[in-house]
Amino acid sequence: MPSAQRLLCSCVVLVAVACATACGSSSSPARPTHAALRVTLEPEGAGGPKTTWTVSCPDATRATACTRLLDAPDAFVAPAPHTACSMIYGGPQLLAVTGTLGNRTIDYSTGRTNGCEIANYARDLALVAPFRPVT
Amino acid sequence: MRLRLPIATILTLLCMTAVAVAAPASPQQAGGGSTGTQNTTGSPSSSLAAEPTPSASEVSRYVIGGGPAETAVWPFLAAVSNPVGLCSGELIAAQWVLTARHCVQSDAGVVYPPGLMEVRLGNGALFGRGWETARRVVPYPDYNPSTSIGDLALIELPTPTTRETVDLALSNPNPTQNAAVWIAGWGLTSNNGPIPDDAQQAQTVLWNQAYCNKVEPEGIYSDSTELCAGGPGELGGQYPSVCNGDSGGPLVAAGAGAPWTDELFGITDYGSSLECDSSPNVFQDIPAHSKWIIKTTGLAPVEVLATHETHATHTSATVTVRLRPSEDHTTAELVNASGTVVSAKRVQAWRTEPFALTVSGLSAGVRYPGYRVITKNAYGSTGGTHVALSTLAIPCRVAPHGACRGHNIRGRNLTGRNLTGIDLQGANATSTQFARANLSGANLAGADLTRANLAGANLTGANLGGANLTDANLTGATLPRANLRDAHLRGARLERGNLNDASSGLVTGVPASLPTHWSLIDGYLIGPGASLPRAKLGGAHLPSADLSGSDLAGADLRGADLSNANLSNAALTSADLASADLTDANLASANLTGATLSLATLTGVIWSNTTCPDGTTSATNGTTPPSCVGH
Repeated sequence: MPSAQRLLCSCVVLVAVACATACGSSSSPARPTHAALRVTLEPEGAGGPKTTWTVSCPDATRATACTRLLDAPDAFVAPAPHTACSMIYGGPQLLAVTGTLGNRTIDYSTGRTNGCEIANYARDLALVAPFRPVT
Repeated sequence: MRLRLPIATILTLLCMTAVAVAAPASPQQAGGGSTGTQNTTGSPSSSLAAEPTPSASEVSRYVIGGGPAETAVWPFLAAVSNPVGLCSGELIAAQWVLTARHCVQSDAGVVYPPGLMEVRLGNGALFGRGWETARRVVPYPDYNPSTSIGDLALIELPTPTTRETVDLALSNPNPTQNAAVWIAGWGLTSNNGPIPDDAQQAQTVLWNQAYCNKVEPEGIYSDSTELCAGGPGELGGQYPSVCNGDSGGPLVAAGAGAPWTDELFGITDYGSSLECDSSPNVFQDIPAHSKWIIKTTGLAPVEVLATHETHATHTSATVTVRLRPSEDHTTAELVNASGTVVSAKRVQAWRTEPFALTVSGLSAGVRYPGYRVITKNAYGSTGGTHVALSTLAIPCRVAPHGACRGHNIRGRNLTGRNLTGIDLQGANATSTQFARANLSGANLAGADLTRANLAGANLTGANLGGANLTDANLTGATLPRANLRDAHLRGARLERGNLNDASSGLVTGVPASLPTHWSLIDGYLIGPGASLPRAKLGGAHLPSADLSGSDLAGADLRGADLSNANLSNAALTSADLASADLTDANLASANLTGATLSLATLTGVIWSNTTCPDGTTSATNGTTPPSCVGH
């Protein structure tokens, strides 16, 4: 196994926030000033009902949520390959996010099928959920 | 479907059910085409070959797809639910389930309160009934979430269970070799699900630590506290692996028999973010953490709470034992003074009812102070609690063959009674009237017969060894073949008694009288017909002694003065008469076969029909008078 692939992120085992810090992009990008994202949530997993909504920042009506999103450099960052992940199962839910976040092109999805994904799912859903239209 | 799960888990599992039923995983989702349900319950191999069975071609790629865990053979398997997910675990004590620490705490590192943790014992129907809310959650204290080292936790159940537990391994298999092991749990049956309703089992390979260090994350993997198993093999094979939902579940040795009879070596911890089986999975090493587990759960063998003898017969004794409630099955053993286990009973965990341990084959009326009740289980043994046992004495029946050992019959009038074979060993029979009683074959060893009246008593073959006969009256008593060794005869009257063939030695005290021709010399009763085999009478002063018909075979008579002694018909075979003075002694019809006569004084010896030391008779060489001299 190549050494790069063997670079496992210990913190991803359980701690999502710390993982994002350690396993995200190697350099610290500038704080994004805008976001244009499309969110797809499958709360019962693949094949179940889907909910989709868009995220747009800045948005004067969701200033706090935008600030939180734009201040989260680890948002929508998947674990590095071969990250060590605890083998807890969190369910079949799927969260997909596409679009742009500052200069980043986002094409991201996560489930809740292991410790890494459970943490990422909770982190990322918390960032986009405030933009979900009230039905 | 009614579930007693935390809300978040209910949502999770309901969603998951929909997937499992309505949308089976596609080959792509399954991470490479595994269909994932191949049963691998065939005979496991305990081979320690480089890559033991099962081979990659023989089994499913996933544990996950190994096969349903057989209900009867994984009785200790447990499912563990917290507010965000599902794990596995195992019952290791009557009230304790072991799982991974990351299964009992949030991502922020906060240990969930017991009310948010639920456990279901058994390996079937994950969505069925039987979920119990934890009573207590005890995380391993030295957990490092950055490395996952120490990723263990214990969950105390609300009540103890009688289910079979799995024993903890206390030492590891050889870390330099691969070994066949079994894994089980409720993990995904393929990389992207579904999660099974029934737990799955599979046989896989526990890898040597050199390989684990090579493939596991550097600086994270700890070969002193962790193990790795399954996934890609050292030589390129692919082996069943655990997957998500298996966290905390068991890794047990694959012995020659069924895996469930073996010990717990590890619990599932983590794997790769890519696919469950893309690298060997990491397990927490149980032997490395067994001390904490045993201490926390109270798995060590419990002390004996109380013992008392509740029943005894003449030959057996029963002790009733009560143990402290135990977390593990406990074996209580009754051990004698020599350390031999004479009785044992296996007690179920948490049973508090008293139970009995019985020992048989004991002697009547005896106290046995040296017994102990010890307790032991797979994790050690206690020093034990001392217990004294006593058997019932057989009632004293003063009659033929009566058992009156040690009894007090002082002063009883047993004149003329038939007491053949009675056992009065050690009895207090002072001043007891035995005149003319038939005590033939009686056991009077060590009895106190001070001032006892044994006049005219029949003591043929009686055992008077060590008896105290001070001032006893044995006038006219018949004692043929009686044993008087170690007897005390001070003041005893034995006139007119028959001591023919009576054995003696180490006799003490000066008797008041002895039968005609008898004397007490050097602790021996010397007289006609005396039984003195191997007597130590070297240098004894025995001039004119009447030892006719005596048994002196093997006796030491070196240097003895036997001048004028009557040794006619005496058995002197192998006797040592070197330097003895046999001047004018009568050796007519005596048997001297093998005897030593070197330097003996033989002047005037009567040799008549004497068997000489060389086995010939004194008349063989035709001398007149006959003699053994020169033979």
